[in-house]
Amino acid sequence: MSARTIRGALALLVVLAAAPAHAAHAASWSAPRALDAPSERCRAEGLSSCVVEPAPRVAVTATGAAAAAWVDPRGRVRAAVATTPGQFGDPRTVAARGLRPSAAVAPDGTATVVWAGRGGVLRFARRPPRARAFAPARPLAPRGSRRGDDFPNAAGQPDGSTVVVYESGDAVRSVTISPTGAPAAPVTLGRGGFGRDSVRVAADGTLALCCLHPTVTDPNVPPDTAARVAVHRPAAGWTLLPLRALDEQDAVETVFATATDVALGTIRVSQGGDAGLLGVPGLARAGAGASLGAPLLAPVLSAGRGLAPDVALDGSGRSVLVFQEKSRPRAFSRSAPVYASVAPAGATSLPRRQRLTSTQAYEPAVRPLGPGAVAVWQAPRHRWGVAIERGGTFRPVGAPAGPGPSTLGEDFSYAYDLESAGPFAVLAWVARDGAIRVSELDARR
Amino acid sequence: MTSRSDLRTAALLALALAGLAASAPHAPSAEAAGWTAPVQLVEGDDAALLGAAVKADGTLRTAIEDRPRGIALGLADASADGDAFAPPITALRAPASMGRTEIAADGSGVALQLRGEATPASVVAFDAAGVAQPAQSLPGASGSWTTVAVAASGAAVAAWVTKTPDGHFAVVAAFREAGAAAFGAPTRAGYTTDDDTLVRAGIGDAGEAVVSWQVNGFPSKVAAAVRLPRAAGFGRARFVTRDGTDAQLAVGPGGQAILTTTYGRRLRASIKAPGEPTMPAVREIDAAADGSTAAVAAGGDRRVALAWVARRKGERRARVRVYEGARRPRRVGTVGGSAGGEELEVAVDGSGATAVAWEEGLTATRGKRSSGSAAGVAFRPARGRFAPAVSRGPLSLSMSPKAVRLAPGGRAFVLYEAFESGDAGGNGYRRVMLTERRP
Repeated sequence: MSARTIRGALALLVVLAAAPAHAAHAASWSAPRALDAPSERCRAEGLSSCVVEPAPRVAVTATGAAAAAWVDPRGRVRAAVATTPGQFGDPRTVAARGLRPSAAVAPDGTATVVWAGRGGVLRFARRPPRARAFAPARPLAPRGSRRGDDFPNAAGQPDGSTVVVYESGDAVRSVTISPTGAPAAPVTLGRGGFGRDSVRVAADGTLALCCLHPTVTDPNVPPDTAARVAVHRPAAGWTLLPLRALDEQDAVETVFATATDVALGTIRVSQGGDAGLLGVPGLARAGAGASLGAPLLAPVLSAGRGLAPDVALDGSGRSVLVFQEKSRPRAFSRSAPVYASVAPAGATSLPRRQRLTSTQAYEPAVRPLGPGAVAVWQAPRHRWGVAIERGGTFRPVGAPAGPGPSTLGEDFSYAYDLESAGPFAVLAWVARDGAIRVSELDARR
Repeated sequence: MTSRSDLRTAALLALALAGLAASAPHAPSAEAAGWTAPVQLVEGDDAALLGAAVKADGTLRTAIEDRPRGIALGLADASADGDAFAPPITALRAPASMGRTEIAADGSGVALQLRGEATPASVVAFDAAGVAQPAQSLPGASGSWTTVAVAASGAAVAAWVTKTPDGHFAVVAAFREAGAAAFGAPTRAGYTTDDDTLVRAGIGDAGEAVVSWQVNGFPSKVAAAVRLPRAAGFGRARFVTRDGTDAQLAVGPGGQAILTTTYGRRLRASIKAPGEPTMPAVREIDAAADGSTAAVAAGGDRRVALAWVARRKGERRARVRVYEGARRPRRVGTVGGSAGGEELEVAVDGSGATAVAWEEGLTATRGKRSSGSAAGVAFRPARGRFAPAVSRGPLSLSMSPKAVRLAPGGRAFVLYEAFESGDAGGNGYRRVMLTERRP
C-alpha cells in the first residue's frame, strides 16, 4: 500500500469520524412563510409608519404543533397555526383590534391567543384541535386596575388548560383557562411588571416570571422587600422563590424554569444608560426545593462591556448562558459578539466561554432543544445566526432561508420570538418588507 | 380752536390706546384689585426662596438662599407697607447648604441642612433674631425626601426614611414641642418598601402631627400616621389610598389635616378633624374631564382648603377650582382662564378666607417666540366670592407660585418665581417676587 493510499484512507476515516457529529446538527428549518406583507400603499407611505406593532409571538409543543400571533398593519390580531411541524396554515383574524398578543398551544393541539383589547380588558380566543378557525373572542377577566390590564403571556398546560399572566396596574395577575375554555377568577401574584424577557415558558408548560415584589397591606409591619421569581408548574401551581442571594448590583434580565429547576440571567451592573445595562453577565440556579444561589459570573474581558444575558436549562440539565460582550465601547449600541458558557448542574463556576459569532450581533436568545439547546441572534445585514449545543458545545447550523430579521416595529420588549419544545423550535420575525415570517426547526434528524 | 376732525382723531387715538391697554391684560400694573406691584426678593440661579410665614404682627418673613451674597440661610422681612424687603439677616453663611425652611409666628424657625447637593441630613434651628443653633443630626437620614414642618407656636416635626439594622426601611419622625430648644429622639411612624419614598409632615400648634409617605413611583400606596398632642409616638398608621399620585399634606394650627391625591379625572382627599387619631381613607371631592396639579391648606382650628387645576368637558383650557370648608369642603370658586404648570399654592385662614396662586398661560403675541406665563392670584373673603383674579409679572417663560400666606384683616402674600431663559439671546433671568393684597 502506497503512502498516498494510506493518506487517502486516513482522510476518509477522518471524514467518516466527523460525519456523526455533523449528522447530530443536521437540524433543518422549514421554508419560512411570509404572512401579512404590508400593502403597496403601506410601503409607499413608509414601512415604519404602518408596521406599528407586529409583535410576532410563538408557541410550540413537543410534537411540533405550533402557533404564531401578531398585529397586522391594520391593527388586527392575526394568528397562524401549524398542526404538522413547519406547515403553518393561512393566517386568520382573531380580533379586529388588539395589541400585544400572546400564543399558547396545549399538547392536544388547542391553540389559544390572548391580547390586550379595548378599554384595558384582556381577551382570548381558542382554536380547538381539528377546528379550522378560532372561536369568537371572549374577555379573559374583568379589568383589574384603572389603568387596565396588559402584556399577557400564555402557557399551554399538559391537561389542555392555559395559564395566562399579565400586568394589572402595578400588580401581576394570573388566570387559568380550563380545558373547556372557561377562565377562572384572576389571582394576584404580587407587585411587578414585565420587561423584555420577564416571562418564559418551558416545554412542559412550566411558566416562570421575574420579578415580583410582595404586596404590602399594613404599613405598621416591616415589609418583606425581597424580590421573587414566580414559577407555575403543572403539578404544583404557583410558587414564589425569594431572591436573597443576589448582590445589590445584580439585575435580573431573564428567567427560565423547568419542572425542578429555576435559572436566572443576571447582569452585575457596571453602568446603565441608553444601551441598557452593561456589566458582567451571570447565571443563578436553584434546584428542586433549594434557594437561589449567587450568580455564577461569565468570563468576560472587560467588566463594563457584558450585556444581554439569556439562560436556558438544556435538555440534559446543563446550565446555558448566552451573552454578549462589546469589543469596544459603542454608545447607544447593543450590538456585540455573542458568547456562550455551558456548565453542568451543580457547577460552582462557569467554564471557559465559547464564541458563537464575532460579528456585531443583536439580541441573542437561547432555548432548550432536544438533549441540548439552540441559540439564535440577529447578524449584520438582516441575517440570522444559529448555533446548536450538544454535549456542552455549540456548533453553527444553517439559518432559515429567505429574508432575515429587521427591527421594523421593534418596541421595548421584543423584535422577534423564539420558543422551543422537545426537538422543535419556532422562530417568528418581521422581515425588511414588513411581512411576518415564521419558520420551524426540526432537530429530530 | 379744536376742529371736529381733531376731536375725531383724538377720540380714535384714545380708543386705540384703550384697546392696546385692554389687549395686554397680563402686563404688570402698579395696582389692581388691591394687589401691590411686584417686589423682587432675590434674583439669579444661585438664589432661592426657602420658606415664608406671616409673623404675629402680620408682617411677612421669608427665608432665602443668596449665594452671590454668601448667604446660605438668610431671613428677609417685608416692610410693613409691603413695598420692599429689609436687608436680610444672615443666619448661616456659605458653604453651608440649606433646604426647606419653616418659620414660626415669632420669626424663629427650623431649616433642613443638606449633605452634598441634595440630601437633608440635619436640622438647624434659629431664633427670631436669626441666631442659628448647632445642627442637630437626623439619625440614619439618607433619602432625598426628608422634610420638616413648624407650627405658628414653634412646635416642629422632622420626618425621614431610615434603614433599620435588619434591612427594612422605616419612616421616622422627631418632634420639638413649642418652646423647647431641641428635637427629641426619633419615633417610628411606619414602614415603607423603598429608600426612595416621599415623606410629608405637618404639625399643629399643640403638637398634633401627621406624617404621610409613599414610594416615589405612581400610582403608589399612600400611608399616614397621626401623633396626638403630647403623645410619645404615633398611633397606628394606615393606607389612605392604594393608588395615589403625588400626595399633598397640610396640618392646621388646631391639628386638623388634609391630604389629597389626585388621580386623573378625580380629586380625592382624606380629611381629619382635630383630635382624631387616624387619617381616614380618601374620598372623592370632585371630578372633571381632566385634572392635574392639586394643593391643600389648613387654617384656624378646623378649616381646610384645596385647589385643583382641572378642565371641564368640552373646554380646551384648564382652570383652578377652589374648595373650602371643615370636614366636607365645597367648591367656593373657579379662577383663572388658562391654568397650567406643576405648582399651585393655596391658603386658608380660620375664618375661611382663601387665597390661591397658579401659573397662568398667556396668549402668544406677534413677534414673541413663546407665549410665556404670568402668576395668577385671587383672593376670596370669608363666606364671600373670589374677587376677579389678577396676573402678576414680570412676563416670563414660566411662572411658578412658591408660597401663599394669609394675614389677619384680609391681607395676603403671594411669592412666585419668574424664569426666562437666556438661550434665545435675550436677557434671561430668574427672580423671586412678592405681591401683597391689601384690604
